[in-house]
This record gives sequence, structure tokens and C-alpha cells, in this order.
Amino acid sequence: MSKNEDIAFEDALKQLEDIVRELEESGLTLDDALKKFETGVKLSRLCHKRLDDADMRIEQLIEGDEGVRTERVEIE
Amino acid sequence: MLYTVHELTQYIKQRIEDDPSLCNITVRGEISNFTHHTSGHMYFTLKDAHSQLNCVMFRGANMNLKFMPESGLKVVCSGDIAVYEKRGVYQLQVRGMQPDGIGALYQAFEQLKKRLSERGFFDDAHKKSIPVFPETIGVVTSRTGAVLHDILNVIKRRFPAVRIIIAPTRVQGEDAAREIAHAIRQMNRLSITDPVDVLIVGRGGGSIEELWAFNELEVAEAVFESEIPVISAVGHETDVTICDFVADLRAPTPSAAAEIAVPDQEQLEQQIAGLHTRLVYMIRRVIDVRRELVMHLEHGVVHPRDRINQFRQYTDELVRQMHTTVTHRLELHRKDLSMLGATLHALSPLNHLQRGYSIVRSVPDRSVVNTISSVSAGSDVQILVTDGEIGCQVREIKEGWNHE
Repeated sequence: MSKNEDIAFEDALKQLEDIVRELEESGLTLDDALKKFETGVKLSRLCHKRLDDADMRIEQLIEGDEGVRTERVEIE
Repeated sequence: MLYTVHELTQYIKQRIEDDPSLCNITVRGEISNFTHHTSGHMYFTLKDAHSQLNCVMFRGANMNLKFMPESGLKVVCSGDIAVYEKRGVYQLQVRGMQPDGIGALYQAFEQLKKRLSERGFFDDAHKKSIPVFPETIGVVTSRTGAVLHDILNVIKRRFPAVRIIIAPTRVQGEDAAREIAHAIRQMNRLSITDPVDVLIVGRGGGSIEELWAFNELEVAEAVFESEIPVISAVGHETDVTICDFVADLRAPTPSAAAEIAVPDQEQLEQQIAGLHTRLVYMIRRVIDVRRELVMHLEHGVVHPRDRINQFRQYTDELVRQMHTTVTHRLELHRKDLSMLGATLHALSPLNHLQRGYSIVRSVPDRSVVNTISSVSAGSDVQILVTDGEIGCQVREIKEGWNHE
């Protein structure tokens, strides 16, 4: 689950939903259930973290000789 | 053919109202005889140098007018030709009215709308879905002005976990359409290497001339070709532009576009918290179920060795029990026996002999003599004493005892 940090919020949320559903539908071995639980907890923390620590980032589209890029800007 | 007036009027009404070239038309002319009735409806005549046309604009339609019509004003009206049976007149039922001068713009708008509609620009099949959780949002609008601020504020409040890329453009005037189209294309170019999830294209409210850039073919084409889903947010709710039709989604205002573009963080937090609770609850249940199962197994199933041990113990117990029972019984018997012995001893005739009593038996039948009638004088008897027999002969028999 080291890749977790790169996972998109949407995917993390979806995975979390899937895990909860799987647990609720049962039929998992204890081992699998515990593994799923562990992953689920990580995902839910990750989702919260994603929502909490993100500050809105504002950039501007810049056209250069080598095409388009973006640059941080302050708006106020 | 003989009609009643009503039948003929009905027929004409039907012919006129079913004619597609008399539906959804725009007519240019000068207003005369304008009256605004207390009912709210407007009645007037449109005229030019050669003809005149009765017009009615009902309350529901004229409520949205941004100006007050008056006699002498040159206007462009849109609506349908209908027949008013009672007076046997045809009239234009006006749904929209613009002061003339920008009538040309309307014409252009309608023409382009028709052309693009025919080319499939507005078809649902081309509409891309707006992502629920965008990470990057492109905004094509004026760098100055309230619109950009409104959009940024809404996003900041609802879901700040995003990256905003602004492509500043002019949003009115000569170059606006070209700049907007260019910005949309550049966003798409950027998106190839640096994905942009959704585009908001828009500006604040204004007159039709001010909004005109969003009615131009250039912008329509750029929006249509955009690989990135486009939310169109031009003007107020009542302003409708070509860009709105082509876009994947039309938002009534720029702020509304921002609300559509991002999810609500608070709601998401709740959703995640809810999932977390379910997760914890479920794992507890999974464990509880297992624990119960283990307990059941422990009670129900016994290892063979345990079973043997148990059996052995049971046997031991039985043996012990038997032993106790037998011993107890023996003890009881022993007691019985000794009591019996004592009784027997007490009852033994020998005891009596010891104390001086003796037993007399007749001879030869050896029956005990306990009455005088058992013997007769001269018969033989035996006397049993402690250590032997004494043979005797009866000499005399007397009834009753002589105690002398």
C-alpha cells in the first residue's frame, strides 16, 4: 500500500466503499477481513487527509515557445 | 360549399397554426397603438410602410422584458401566428421582443443556432460527463471582474483540495471570441501532459452585445472540440448563448458552475466518517462471529485423547462407586448377621437347659412332652439336659402341679 500516497481521492473513496461493502457482504476469511479492514482504515485516513491538508492552488496558463505551461499566481 | 362562420374560422385557424413557416418566426416593425392592459397583457400593432400586423404579448411573456415597449419604437418580435376566432383576425403571439438594431444579432444568433444544431453540436451524444472529483479545474474568463472571484470563492469554500488553472481572456469586444476559443484549445493542449479535469468557460451578465463573444462560431467550435468537459457559465440565468448549448453542461451563473464543478467537502467528510464507522463495526462483527464460533467448537468437539481420559475417569468413578456400595452392603450384612446370631443365641433351647430347664420327649416318636396327655403311665420318655439324655419310665400321672 505504499502506492497509496499517489492514489486519486476519487479512487481512494471508491476503494473504501468497495471494502466496506465486501466486509458487509461477509464471506471473507478472518485473515482477509483483517487485511481489508487495515486497508480500509488507511484509505479513510488518506481521504480525510486529502480533504484536510489541501489548500487551493491557483495557477495561470502561460504560453511559451515550447508550448503551454502553468505558473503559480496570487489572486486577491 | 357552405360553411358557418365558425367552421370557416376554425378551418383557417387550423391551416394557419399548423403552418411551420408561421411558427417560431421573427418579425421586424414599428410599434403602434400600444396598450398595456390591466390584465398584464400587451396589445399593439406592428407596422411598416406597407402593412400592419396585430400583436399580443401575454403577461407571462412580457414579464421578462428588459425594456418597456412604446408606440413608435422599432422592434424585432418573435413568436407564432395565431387566429383569434372571436374577432376573426390573425395576430402575432409575441414571445420575445428586442429593440431593433440588435435585431441583426438575434438573427445571427438564430441562424448560427440552427446551423450548429443541424451539425449535431448540441446532441446529447457529444456531451461528456462532468467528473465528480476533479483535481484540476481550468477557468477561462476575464482576469479582472467579479466572476473569477466568485468562482474561486465557491471552490475555496466547498472543496479547496483542487488546483485551479486560469486562462485569462477578454470576454467582450472584438477579440474576445478568438481569445476564448484559443484559451480553450490551449487548455486542451496542456491537458495532454498535465491533465485538466474540467473547464469553466464564462463571464458575468450583460447586454446581448456584451455577451456576444459566446455566440460566435469560433467559441462554439472550440467548446465542441474540447476533450476536457466544459461547463458554460455565461451571464445570468435568463441569458442564453450558443456556448451554453454546445457545452457539456450549462450553469445558470458562474458561481453555480463552480458549485457543479466541485463536490461539497463537508458532505464528503461525513461520507468518509460514515464509511469508517461501518468499517469498524464490520470488523468487530467479523471478529465476534469468529469468537463465538471458536467457543462453540470448544464446547462441542472434544479431542479423542480427552475423551479417553474422560472415559477413564468415569470408569474409575464407577469402580469407586461399586466398591463403596459393596462395602456398604457387606457392612450391612455383617450387622444383620451378628444381630441374627444374637437372636439365635437367645432363642437356643440349650440356653434354657443351662438354666436348669430340661426337655422331655416321648419315646419312640421323640415329640416334646408339654402336657400330661402326651404320655401314659408305664411309657418311656427321654429327658434332655445340657450334656445328654436320661431314659425314664412314667410312674404316675397327676393333673395339676404339686408345689410341695
